[in-house]
Amino acid sequence: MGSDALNRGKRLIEVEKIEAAEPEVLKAVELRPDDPEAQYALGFIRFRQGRFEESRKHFLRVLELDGGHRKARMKLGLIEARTGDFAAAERTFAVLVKTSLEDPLARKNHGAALRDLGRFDEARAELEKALELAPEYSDAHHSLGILESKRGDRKAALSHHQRALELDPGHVDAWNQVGVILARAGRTREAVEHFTTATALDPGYVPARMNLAEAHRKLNRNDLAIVELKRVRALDPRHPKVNGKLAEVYELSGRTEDAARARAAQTAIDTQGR
Amino acid sequence: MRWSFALGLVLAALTVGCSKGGYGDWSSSYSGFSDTGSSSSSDDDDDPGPPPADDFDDGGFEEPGFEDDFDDYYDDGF
Repeated sequence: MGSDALNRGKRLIEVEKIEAAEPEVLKAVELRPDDPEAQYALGFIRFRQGRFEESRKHFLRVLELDGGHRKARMKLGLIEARTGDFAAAERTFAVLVKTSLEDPLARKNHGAALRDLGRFDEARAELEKALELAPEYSDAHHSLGILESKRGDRKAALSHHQRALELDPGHVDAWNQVGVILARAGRTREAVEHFTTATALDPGYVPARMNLAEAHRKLNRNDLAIVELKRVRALDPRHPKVNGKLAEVYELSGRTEDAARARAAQTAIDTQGR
Repeated sequence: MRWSFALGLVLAALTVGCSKGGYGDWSSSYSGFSDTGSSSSSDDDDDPGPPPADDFDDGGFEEPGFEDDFDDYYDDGF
């Protein structure tokens, strides 16, 4: 009975019907609390819902029941990294690397955690190992690009992000990062091309859209900047900076009433928090 | 030659689609491609210069206002 509910839940998760899967998986966990696959499925649902603390508990439970559960350990590391606990993420991914020596994703994420701890040499070695295992692994090049940016070597960063794009022209993050490097170097028009491609590939990708708005503003295309900022606001109404930027661009355009409204909205967000 | 390659990349990117977004982190409430920002706009007719490549040298200059996205912890799904 519990396995029937779990199977129904898993099928729904696989077709992205997360909310529909939830009652089935909850039922499976209630009936079979020691089934690692039921705990994993519930952890995955919470992960997708952004309920990371609950998700973490379920993945830890999975690992108590089955220490070799690769996907639970991977998700646990992701939660740790995304909540800023890079030391914990590094330890989690290190275990994963030891148990899956030929897994390029484990190597890549371990390298990223080492990098985010400032352990650049170890990070580079791990990311290069990922590339030995999978020479056309665009994500590993992207991660190396971030490493070089953090070290302050923009030229090396650019080279890695460009390699990521050669390998995967749909790598949205790499389009954005190349745009950032070009924009900071004052090559604003080229940067616009890159941010535009990133937003075309993923219209909901807020960082590239914010950068595109800033690039338009620097080119004195205030109307286009306003369009992009309004799109960001529609995507993320409580974005920490969008209303402030919008107020600045409205001011530059002489739209003082709109600027005042945007500034008031920014103040409300700053006061209330996100 | 390199510029042609870069244009090819853009076209290929638009064809291939998105490699990120598997978590549903980003809202899908907005649909459609951006209709802004193309370098074909009238104030942008001059040569955009070479594509980003090995000639890159910013001389330490840094234009402020742009933000990195350093979230590169990827997943392999369910």
